[in-house]
Amino acid sequence: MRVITSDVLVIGAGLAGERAAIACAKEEQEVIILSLVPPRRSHSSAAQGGMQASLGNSIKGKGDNPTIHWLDTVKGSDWGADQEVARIFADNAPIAMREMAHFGVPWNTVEAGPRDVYIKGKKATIVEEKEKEGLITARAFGGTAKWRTCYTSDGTGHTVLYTMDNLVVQLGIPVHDRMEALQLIHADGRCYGAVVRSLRDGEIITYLAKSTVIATGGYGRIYGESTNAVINEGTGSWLALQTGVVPLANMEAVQFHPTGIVPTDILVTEGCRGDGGILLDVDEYRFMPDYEPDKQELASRDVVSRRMKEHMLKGKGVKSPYGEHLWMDLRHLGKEHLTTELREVHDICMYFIGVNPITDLIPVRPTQHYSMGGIRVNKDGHAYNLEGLFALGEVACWDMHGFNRLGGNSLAETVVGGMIIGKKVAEYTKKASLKTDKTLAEQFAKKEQDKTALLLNTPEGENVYKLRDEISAILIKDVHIFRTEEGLTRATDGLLDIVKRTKNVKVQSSAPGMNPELSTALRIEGMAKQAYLIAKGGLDRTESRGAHSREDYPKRDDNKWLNRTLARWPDPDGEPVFTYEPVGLLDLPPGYRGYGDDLREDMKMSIEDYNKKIPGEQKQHGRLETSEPIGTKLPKEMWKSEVKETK
Amino acid sequence: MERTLKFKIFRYNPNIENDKPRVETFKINETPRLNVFTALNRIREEQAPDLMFDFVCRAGICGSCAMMINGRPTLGCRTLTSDLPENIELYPLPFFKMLGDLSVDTGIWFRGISEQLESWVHTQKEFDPEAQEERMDNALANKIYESERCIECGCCLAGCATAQAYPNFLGAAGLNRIGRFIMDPRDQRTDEEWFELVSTDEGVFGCIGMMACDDVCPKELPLLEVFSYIRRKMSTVPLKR
Amino acid sequence: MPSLKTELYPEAASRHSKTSEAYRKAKKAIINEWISGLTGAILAMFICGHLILESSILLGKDAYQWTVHLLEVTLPIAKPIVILITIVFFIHFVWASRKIPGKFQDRKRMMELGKKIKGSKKLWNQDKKLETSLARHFETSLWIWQVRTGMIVLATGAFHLILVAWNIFTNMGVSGQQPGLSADIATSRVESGLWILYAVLMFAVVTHMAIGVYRLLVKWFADTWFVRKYSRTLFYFLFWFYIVLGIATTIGLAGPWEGLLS
Ligand SMILES: Cc1cc2nc3c(=O)[nH]c(=O)nc-3n(C[C@H](O)[C@H](O)[C@H](O)COP(=O)(O)OP(=O)(O)OC[C@H]3O[C@@H](n4cnc5c(N)ncnc54)[C@H](O)[C@@H]3O)c2cc1C
Ligand code: HEM
Ligand code: HEM
Ligand code: SF4
Ligand code: F3S
Ligand code: FES
Repeated sequence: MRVITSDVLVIGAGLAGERAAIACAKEEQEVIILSLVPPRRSHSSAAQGGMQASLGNSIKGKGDNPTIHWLDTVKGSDWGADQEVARIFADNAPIAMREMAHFGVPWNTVEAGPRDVYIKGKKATIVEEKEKEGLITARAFGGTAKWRTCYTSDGTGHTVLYTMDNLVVQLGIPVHDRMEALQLIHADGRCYGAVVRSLRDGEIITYLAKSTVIATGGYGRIYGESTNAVINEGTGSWLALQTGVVPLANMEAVQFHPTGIVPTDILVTEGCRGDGGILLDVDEYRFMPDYEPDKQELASRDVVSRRMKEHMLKGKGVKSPYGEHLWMDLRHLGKEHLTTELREVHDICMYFIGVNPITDLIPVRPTQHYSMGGIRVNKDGHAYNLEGLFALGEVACWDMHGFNRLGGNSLAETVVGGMIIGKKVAEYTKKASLKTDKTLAEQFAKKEQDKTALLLNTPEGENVYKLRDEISAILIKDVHIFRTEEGLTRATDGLLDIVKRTKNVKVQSSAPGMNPELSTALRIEGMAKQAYLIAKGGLDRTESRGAHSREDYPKRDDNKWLNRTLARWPDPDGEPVFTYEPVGLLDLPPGYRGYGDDLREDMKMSIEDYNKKIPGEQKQHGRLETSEPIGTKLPKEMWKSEVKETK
Repeated sequence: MERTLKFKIFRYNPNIENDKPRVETFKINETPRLNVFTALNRIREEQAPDLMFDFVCRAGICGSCAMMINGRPTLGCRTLTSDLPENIELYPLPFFKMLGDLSVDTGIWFRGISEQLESWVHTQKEFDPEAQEERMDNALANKIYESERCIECGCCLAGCATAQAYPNFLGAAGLNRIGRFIMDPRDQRTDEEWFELVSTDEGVFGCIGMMACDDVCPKELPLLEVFSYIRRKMSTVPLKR
Repeated sequence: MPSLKTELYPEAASRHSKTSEAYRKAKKAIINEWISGLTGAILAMFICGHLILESSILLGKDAYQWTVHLLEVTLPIAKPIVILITIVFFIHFVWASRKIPGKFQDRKRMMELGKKIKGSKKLWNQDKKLETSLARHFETSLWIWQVRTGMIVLATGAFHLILVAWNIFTNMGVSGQQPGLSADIATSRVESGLWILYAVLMFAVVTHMAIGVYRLLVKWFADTWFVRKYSRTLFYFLFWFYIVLGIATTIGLAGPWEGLLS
């Protein structure tokens, strides 16, 4: 068996993984990156709209600063976020954007002079300032007080990822692509690397490293109907869950994007609405202002998705052979705009559903899009309970998103997180030593080899594709935008059954090499178990917060549920263990978000008391020591001046 | 009117010793808005569990799924079967290393090209986190973006007869990449450096103007325009004293 | 940041000097390209003019004779042009052929691709205005035809050059006759069976020239206002105009009728 060693092993070559790898390489650590696909095919490249950073260059972003960005983020999260992490993020986002410009991203920039735009459905003229000409510009996104989303046309993820990968090439960081990490090698609370399967020839290889970083992106494909890439099957979070000690946090917090196109579920960016696109119902009536008079189409995603669903339930949806949907109208933006700044959107509509957005309405419906939850890490990105394991990007729950992330914040998170956590990884690695415990590695590799053999040799068993479809059918039916006790109970029961059945899968083909069916079979248990965590977490959380919306518990309950769900699965054949930790230091007290319903149960405990119990309680749940104590990056009540100002 | 589609798919698994390249036929019923992505997945799930192919984004943005569809290199996820006749022939892209059936190794080739072309912004400047970013004209940013949009699908190389004959040829994607950096004022490479990089028989003067790259590029990049920009720019270099 | 990758090489500093190996190679490549392109362009212009002048036979032998007289006597440029064009012709042949794959194997692969992309139901061009109904990729086939016609031109054109040079520089062994061309020589030659050769040469050279001009313009000017679409229109125009004119001229020279238009 081949053993490959390095200082740092980064699993995942999306933006998050690559940025962290670069940070480590700059500190002269030897890094290897693993990826299922060539790095530039990672799903980060599919992000269109842009990334948020309070540069404030556009006239509509004038006066913006990290504090306002932070306020938007915390409110967007429905107070589920760790406010200190959100602060670290907001403070560093502008630096990250400028750094990416330095590395070569061709950001769209400010063009001085007047320009016609659509704001809240009405045409308006804005005049950009001469002194800002040539600086990074921004567009509007949902749930934000200012125009803050930096972009390159509607291919932001693409350009940023390509630039990032250029840097990886420049630094000579090897990327082993077509490699799938199957299991972490760990013992006694320390992670030593991973067991990896080559998707070229099926070889099982072990990678040993002083620190291991998981940056494998989202799990959207568990839902089947999702905007995510087909490789986003939650293999990264599964790595953590398999250890039995590292918790997955807030798995019930699943984001549904308002505008997935029907029927292919491909995303058209929030930038469409940011640039003035509007939502229409079956009568071509613009309904959002009725529900959200202030933010209208640009309320946060959870709110818009819920309103759309609500409106469809009132019978105002458009019936189609592919189910009910609504319309998005971009026609008024004009051909020029749609073939430049929204060109991908234009192409996607033309190629996949034969709709020309210049002249036609686009069929859209809310579609699974993002997972706020994931591998729980501290503010340094260090995983709970397992030393030497780090996680960042969509797969992690660093927790700046809480129960709903703002559009444009996750792409920015990958780069900012990579910058900051990458440095912490390097620091840790420098101090750490690697005991190359080959027997341990072999032991873990053997487990995987046995599993493969079992899958191939089972004489009779379940069809893996059928199981996969059953899982997504349950999630789509009962663990969607609106949830009820009845539905969730049905879902948990069904999913627990499927979890058991995944132990008895039969792979039809024993062809050597990539063997796509075997690859899926190796993932299916993880998919089923994570689906169960989503459903069970949702069933137990008897409140509505952000994207988690219970019809039977419509209130946000800050008294009981201002906390974060943590789920571990210590006994692989048993059931998972759920615990809850406080969300993190509160600086901005829980309140009304400014959009959506205002149904709340107030916190009875004082903020001081809540904050006091945090260090102890989080430690109890496995939070490892951070390089700086909790709270050092959260300046007290800086938001107060901003709140007054914006009033 | 529902059609029965006949997919004739190239099969070969290099991991099996003595495996013979062959073409296998699969029949499936056409459903509305069926594309090659869905069709291939159905074939894999129902008829040929070991069929190898690559899809990632299934939205025409990642460039994984390029293949020869009825003789034309293009993206599988973006091709609707309703635009095709009943008989659909699928071959892997030529030029790239074959990994099995319809899957080829474009990633390694493109990484090699990036290394060879030193495809990053060459600058002596250190990044200063405090400083404002360098200004750039929006029109120029858009022009760079036009070239930056390449998704490295490899269609242009698969369609280019020159690339088939000269495996060291940088191809349209490689030339386009250099063009992108020549345009970028942040890259401080000198004309002489560009000249050495691109004015060669593997570079822009290896291109004999077959124009297939321009015709097949699924992102409709202005490839020919980038080439003539480079050609003319390079022509002035040896004249300079 | 650790050093740029280029700095890993100690000779990096001198790498880009004008005397470096890489620079010299690059310079050779660009000079080669210029030579084949420029000679092609010169030949193309020559042929465009040549075929127009040749078509004066359509106005009758007198008109043709007048043209010959003009070129040989009035402005005695015939001889220098013959020398010049012969040189350019051979330079072009040598330099342009370097693009034809030397190895049979490579040529085969090129043709393979041509075949592979044949039968593509979906048309190749994405711009609807450029769409063609050819099964193969149009411009790729054009290149293959350019090579084929080039070879034909090499054989027949060289023969033709020898013939006319013999006319122009010698009295062809007929004592007492002045060196030089005449309508009679031209027509009698063509009449007497050489018309097949001329027809072939004409078809080949017109095809080759039209394709060459198209490709040349796209290669060097696609990013100016003269976009590919215009070059392509020009290609069709050149091709059809000179084919029609050429056929008429050949008939005129081989002439069952004398002076088609007179
Ligand atoms: C369609 C779409 C549009 C979006 N638009 C925006 C937007 O406009 N703005 C915004 O802020 N956010 C947007 N997002 C969200 C954002 O793009 C993602 O959250 C973010 O890119 C995730 O980056 P990542 O680096 O964490 O993961 P990814 O980019 O998904 O990368 C994951 C990497 O991990 C690798 N990997 C996975 N599993 C394994 C394994 N087991 N072994 C080895 N390697 C593995 C993969 O190969 C890949 O390289 C969008 C998301 C989608 C789906
Ligand atoms: C400068 C040198 C040249 C001279 C003086 C010349 C002269 C002539 C003459 C006199 C004819 C009439 C037929 C004949 O007398 O044989 C003719 C015909 C022709 N020449 Fe040339 N020629 C020259 C070079 C070329 C070249 C280089 C080509 C192309 C490779 C060419 C292509 C043709 C063709 C195609 C015809 C036939 C025209 C027709 O039938 O339509 N000539 N030329
Ligand atoms: C001696 C016989 C000839 C041969 C073997 C020949 C061969 C070729 C070949 C192989 C090319 C392609 C080169 C490339 O793509 O870079 C070419 C290009 C060209 N040829 Fe010729 N040719 C011949 C004569 C002619 C003549 C008589 C003309 C004039 C009508 C001509 C005009 C051109 C032009 C304009 C080009 C385009 C140049 C370019 O693309 O750079 N050729 N020739
Ligand atoms: S240039 Fe076009 S065809 Fe070539 S790799 Fe890029 S996107 Fe694909
Ligand atoms: S097809 Fe090939 S030869 Fe040149 S114009 Fe395109 S690279
Ligand atoms: S799967 Fe990404 S382009 Fe087709």
